[in-house]
Amino acid sequence: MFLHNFKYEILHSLRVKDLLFWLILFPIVLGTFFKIAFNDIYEKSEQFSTVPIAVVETSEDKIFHSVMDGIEQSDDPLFKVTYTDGDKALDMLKNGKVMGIIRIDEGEKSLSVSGEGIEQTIIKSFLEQYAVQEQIITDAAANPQNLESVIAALNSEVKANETVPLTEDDPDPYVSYFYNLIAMVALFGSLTGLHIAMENQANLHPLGARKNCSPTPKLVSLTASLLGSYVVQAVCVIITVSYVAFVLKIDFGSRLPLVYISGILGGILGVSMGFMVGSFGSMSEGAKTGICMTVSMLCCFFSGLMVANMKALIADKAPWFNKINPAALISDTFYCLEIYSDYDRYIEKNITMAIISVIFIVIGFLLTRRKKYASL
Amino acid sequence: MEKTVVKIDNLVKRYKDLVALDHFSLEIKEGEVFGLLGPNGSGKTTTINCLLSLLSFDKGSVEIFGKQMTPVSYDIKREIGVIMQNVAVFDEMTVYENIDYFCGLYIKDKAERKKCVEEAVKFVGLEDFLKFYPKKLSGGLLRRLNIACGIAHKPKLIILDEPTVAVDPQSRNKILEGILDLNKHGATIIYTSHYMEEVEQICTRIAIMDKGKKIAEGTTDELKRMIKKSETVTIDILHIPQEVLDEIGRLPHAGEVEYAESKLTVSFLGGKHNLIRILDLLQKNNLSFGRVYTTLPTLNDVFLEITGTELRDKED
Amino acid sequence: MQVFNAFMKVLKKRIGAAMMWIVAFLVISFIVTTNADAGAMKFESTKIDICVFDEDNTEESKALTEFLGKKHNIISVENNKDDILDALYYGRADCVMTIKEGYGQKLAAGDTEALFTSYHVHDSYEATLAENLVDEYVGAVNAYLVSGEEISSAIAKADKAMSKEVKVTAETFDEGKENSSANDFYFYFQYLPYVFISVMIAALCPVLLKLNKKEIRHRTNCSCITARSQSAQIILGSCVFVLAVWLIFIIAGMALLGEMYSGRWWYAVLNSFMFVIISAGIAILISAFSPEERVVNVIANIIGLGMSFLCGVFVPQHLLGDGVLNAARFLPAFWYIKANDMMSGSSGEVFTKSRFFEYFGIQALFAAVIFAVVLVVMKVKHDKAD
Repeated sequence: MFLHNFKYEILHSLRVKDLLFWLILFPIVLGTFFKIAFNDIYEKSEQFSTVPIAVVETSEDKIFHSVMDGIEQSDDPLFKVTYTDGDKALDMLKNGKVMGIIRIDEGEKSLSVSGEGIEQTIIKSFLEQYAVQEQIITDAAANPQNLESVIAALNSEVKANETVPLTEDDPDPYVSYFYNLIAMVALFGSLTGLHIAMENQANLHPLGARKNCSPTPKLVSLTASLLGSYVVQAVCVIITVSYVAFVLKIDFGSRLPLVYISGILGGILGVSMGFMVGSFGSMSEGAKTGICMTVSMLCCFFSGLMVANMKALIADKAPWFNKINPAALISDTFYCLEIYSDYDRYIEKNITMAIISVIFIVIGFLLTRRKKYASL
Repeated sequence: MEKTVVKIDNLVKRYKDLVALDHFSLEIKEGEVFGLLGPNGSGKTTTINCLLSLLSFDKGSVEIFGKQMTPVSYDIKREIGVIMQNVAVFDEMTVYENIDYFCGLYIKDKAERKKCVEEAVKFVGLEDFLKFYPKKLSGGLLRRLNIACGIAHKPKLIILDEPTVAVDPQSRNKILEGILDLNKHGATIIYTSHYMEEVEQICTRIAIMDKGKKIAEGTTDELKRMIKKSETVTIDILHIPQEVLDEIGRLPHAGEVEYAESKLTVSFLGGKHNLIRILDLLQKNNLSFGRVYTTLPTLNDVFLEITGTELRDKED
Repeated sequence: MQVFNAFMKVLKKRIGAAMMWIVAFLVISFIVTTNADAGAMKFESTKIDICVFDEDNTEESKALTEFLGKKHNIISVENNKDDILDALYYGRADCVMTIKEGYGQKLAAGDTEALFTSYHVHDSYEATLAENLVDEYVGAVNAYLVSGEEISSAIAKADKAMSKEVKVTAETFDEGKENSSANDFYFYFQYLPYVFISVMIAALCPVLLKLNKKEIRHRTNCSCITARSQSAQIILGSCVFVLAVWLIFIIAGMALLGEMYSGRWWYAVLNSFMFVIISAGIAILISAFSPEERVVNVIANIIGLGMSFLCGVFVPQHLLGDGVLNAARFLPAFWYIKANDMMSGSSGEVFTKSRFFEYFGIQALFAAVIFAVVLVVMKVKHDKAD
């Protein structure tokens, strides 16, 4: 009886083609979009590039000029300098040809920018650094006997800082988008779970009425159906993870098997969530599908599917939410695997997922347990 | 003494203010084809759903095969086949898979199940459509699939809730014949419908219900006897004097007498020799007449007279 | 107006789905805008977030912490590896720095080696900025020491020298009268394309599909309503819906941010209007292919999420690779975002009316193309049916 139900649940799931489309093709398409979109994002945003600037010299400042020349001629120049007059510089700024204009007027240096961004900050801090050195030398000029050693001190390279890497490899910050993509696939399992709940309820579906009339106990047929969907959902997650890991070549670290396990657990969580939603009330299937979709997307949003630092924001403002948000939990397990060498957090997150799944299933069972209906 | 298969006792079911079943009782014996008749919204489907323990009810009891019916009476459920009003099959599964799936909910053994499924397929005549998906089936075939899903496990009690809605006459006849065939093989049948002719054609016993109450019960003949009207005699006659008409009106059991457009219509409220009596009278008065025919009351007449209503087209 | 009425009635059944998106979006907008200072979501903030662990705990180390606090945001993170990792990984902290024990003594002795350790997960502008800043500070203190100052006055002077701000003028080149500090509007408008596409496809598509269902279409065609009047009523219904959705968002935007649109943000309003029309066009185009209703959700998500990612709705355009941007040019959302970025100045592109109308015009062209394709598809389908 159990195996019979199980077999047909899988057969049935495989035939619901658009659902399969959801669960497999959609993340593949979106993952490919991600890959395209983020392909060279890393280089662009996180690594240095030369900042184009314009310098307008109203009054001459030989020292500054020679410093700028020195910078431009270095191997990995910080700035690309164009000397020009005020109007042309403004025009260049307006058209985005330069990121800032340094004006030198009576020894005072000022900066004109058209926006506020990291490049502008670099120009600004360069100017400030220059001003500091200028100031120090001016101050030191009071004791001319020390001037030489002051300049020497200023020119000596200060390396007061030691950086300590926290992880073995250099994690790609955009990998979190892929983590959340897998979380989304897992949560879309709620659509499968929804079907099970609906098709076993006499008041929601004619099939439910028919099943209720059969001598197969509800617990048996529900459990078989749930397990069947878990299997189908697990396959979907496995396909997605494999696609992301092997086709898109996203690095999950060295513990890929555990990534699969957490992904599958996430899928189980998703199916269970749908099962619970499906068991609630007597809303139409369309409405419940809408709820599942919206809830899944919201969870993913708060986990950073759309805006990567959403999770940081939540961690800051409502840390408890990250601890129960299914999408955050799923993507966090991948993150734990990538970052931590020990398993404490990884296990903690997985246990939380398991607990939430169990809660969902129990609620679902309690809601569908009632065998008689007030109305059909 | 035949065994009682279904016993419904004093069933009361309320939907908020609406009383759907009002102290409804019913007893069905083994081997019967029992028709449950009533206008739309009279409580037929509610009765079936309560019988199956799908619906909760406020009062009363349901016994099947002499045992209290509950949602977990799996041994009882095993012997019941249900064909619901709505077609309940998986769109994503083929005809064969659907029948096999539902049959599998009752029968574990694979070999036995295979036999049952094949028999069911043959029974409803879907042999050529095994690999079809329900969406590709015509209305009649879909209904037949719906039936096959309900009876494949060879139940002893088969409940059919308006199985012939929106089915063409050929399919309908096939379905009705099938039901009688099942009955011949020993199944007890409960059949709900508001098609009078169908019920009259196949049911051995009938209950008429309206507004949640059982208002009549018996065989077709018994029911017909319950109403006053027995037969209507129509005679083609070119001329008839008024005094003969009056005389006819005075015949025993005679009811309404009407003469229009060379047609004499007399309805009788019982009696056995009405036709003879009229013909005698006409001959006595030397009146020549043409075609003579009588019509017996139909179940429809019974229904209309008892419920006093036209068939209401209200949703169940 | 029978068709129009029917349209509205069917729409009423579907409005739940649309409302779900709308409400979800508004809630998110509310959260994001009220917390806009909480992360790098705000581009105008170039103060970086530094966490300092002071293991030295001397006058000197405190002076340094204070100095850093003046320049940047000091945030606190639990001093254990996992929390530090989290903070860095999720970008809550840009740099986590430890002032090592003995910092004060070493500094006074002119030893500038290994005074700090800093953690980082990946190289970034922000981390480098912070590291350079402390190097510079130490260098300045050291220079003053060499010039003969006492340690305390050297610190004070270095602090003073380094606190000098360079005068920065923001050139606005403004034609739309810049006065609004409400860059919050930027975020609000930034995410609208995703929501518009989702709402339109989730709500409008099913309605159109239902009205265009073969049986209903045939039945309507048998009636005495002309085909033209029928189409006109459907178009009218769509317009009412589109306009209503757009108005909800425009009004909600004002309510959410508590101020009236002003200056260039009126252009943003205009921009969003063009995009809602494009979204409706996409929805109509999809329904013209009459897909299964269940598939509509899939399409909504693929188009919505896909276009949003490729065109810079979620990830700022200036972070996207050139290859992507070149491809994205062929998608309408790209131009919407370009215009929106220009209004906030986040792309470095300067706002000018002519440029805005250039982008706006490109979007209008997209809209025209989409509707033209709709007509072609309908014509082809119609001819086929004959």
